[in-house]
Amino acid sequence: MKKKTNRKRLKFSTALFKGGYVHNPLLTQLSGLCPIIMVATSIKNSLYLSAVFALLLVVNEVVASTFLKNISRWVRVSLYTLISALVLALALTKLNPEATAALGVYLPLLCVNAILVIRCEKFAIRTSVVNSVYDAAANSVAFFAVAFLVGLIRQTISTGSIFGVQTRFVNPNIAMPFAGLAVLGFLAAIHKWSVMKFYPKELVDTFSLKGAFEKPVLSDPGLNTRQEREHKKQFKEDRQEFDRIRPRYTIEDVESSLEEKRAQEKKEENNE
Amino acid sequence: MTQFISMLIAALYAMLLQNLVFSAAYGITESVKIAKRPKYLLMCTLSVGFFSVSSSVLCRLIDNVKMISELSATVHFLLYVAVTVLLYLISGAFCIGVLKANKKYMNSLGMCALNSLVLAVPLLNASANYSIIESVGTGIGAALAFVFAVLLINAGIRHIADNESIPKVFRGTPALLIYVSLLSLAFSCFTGESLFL
Repeated sequence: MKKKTNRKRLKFSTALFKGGYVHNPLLTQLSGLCPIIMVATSIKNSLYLSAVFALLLVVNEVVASTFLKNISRWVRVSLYTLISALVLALALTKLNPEATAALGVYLPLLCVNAILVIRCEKFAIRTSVVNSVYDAAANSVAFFAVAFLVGLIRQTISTGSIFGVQTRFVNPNIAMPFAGLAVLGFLAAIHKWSVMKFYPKELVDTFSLKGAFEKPVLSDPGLNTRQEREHKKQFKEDRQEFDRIRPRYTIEDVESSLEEKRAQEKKEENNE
Repeated sequence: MTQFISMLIAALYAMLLQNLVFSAAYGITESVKIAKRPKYLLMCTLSVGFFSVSSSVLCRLIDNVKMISELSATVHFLLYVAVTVLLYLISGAFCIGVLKANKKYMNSLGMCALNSLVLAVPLLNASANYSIIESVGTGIGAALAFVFAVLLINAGIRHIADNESIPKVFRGTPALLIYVSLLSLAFSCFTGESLFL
């Protein structure tokens, strides 16, 4: 089935604002957490991880928006993994062996990162190549920002120094996965606070069961997703329910109420 | 009997002592997403179990071929990815052709087959130099670890997502992450290390 391509040009600033900040895939959708939790323990690791991730995301989105539009979804998903694995195998020969050793098994596992599939399926497949590149860049920046912050916090606590300045809190166990999850939790809270404070209309919390569809999801090409469809479906259901339970007035009811209103107005005029 | 015990030990190790989801964060995104939708819990956990066991065994069999065992780690990784993708495509074709699976199921099948947990199992087997029996154990252990993780997260998610006593900023995703971190902390006790100095 041929997909409709959205030709509307996406601004990079919009992609960065929505894809990178407001709908940050790591902090709002909890996608692609595995490498951040385990190996974003230092700034160096975070930089390597972000660079490889950016490479994979850009290649996947460009290929998806150029060649994969007419293939069924379930086959496409496997193609993303294959493309990522091939790119990663080529990249591994160029990367510093020490850095790849520090990232361990989590570097190859980037090829099945959930963000790759989600961005390709929800965005790249429906839009032009330029828009896909913008989206990939925005999401890579989002990934880098989170990885860098987590790496910075964990490195500071595990080594007891930040950019050469000694700190009092030292605990090497911050490199363990539970600490990574806790740091991400606090970062998610700060992110949510900033969105609530400055852009309250844009707030969509995927894991809030009650409020998920109360806020409008804008019809942006980057947000043309399941959430939007569910939002519309919910709206339709609510509308049907409203139509079912709302009181039905007859013409007589309306006329009598109008007559009453006119009589009351006359009475008020006479009194005056 | 010895082989059965070694399989059981490998499975218990992957499920409890070194729970692959909480202690190594493999497949944590998928487990959180499935925990949110308990409707798909059985189908998804069965699929993850099938893919983790079958890819674990097939990759170990391939590793034992003398010509392949001499190749570099990168080629091995590419082979693991190829095996996993091939398994997914065969299962997908079977589901569409024979079981007449609907679109929603096919969307979930991709998530269940191509995730970090399923791909990590062959890599871990290779690094630990497990036998085929132990690889079966690791595959089963990975599937059980996933089920365990999904059930634990699901138990907490409804209490946490919209709990009025949690500050508004922490409600939803942040609270969920901190809840999962506490679960992960519980599994860290099996490492035998002193967590707080």
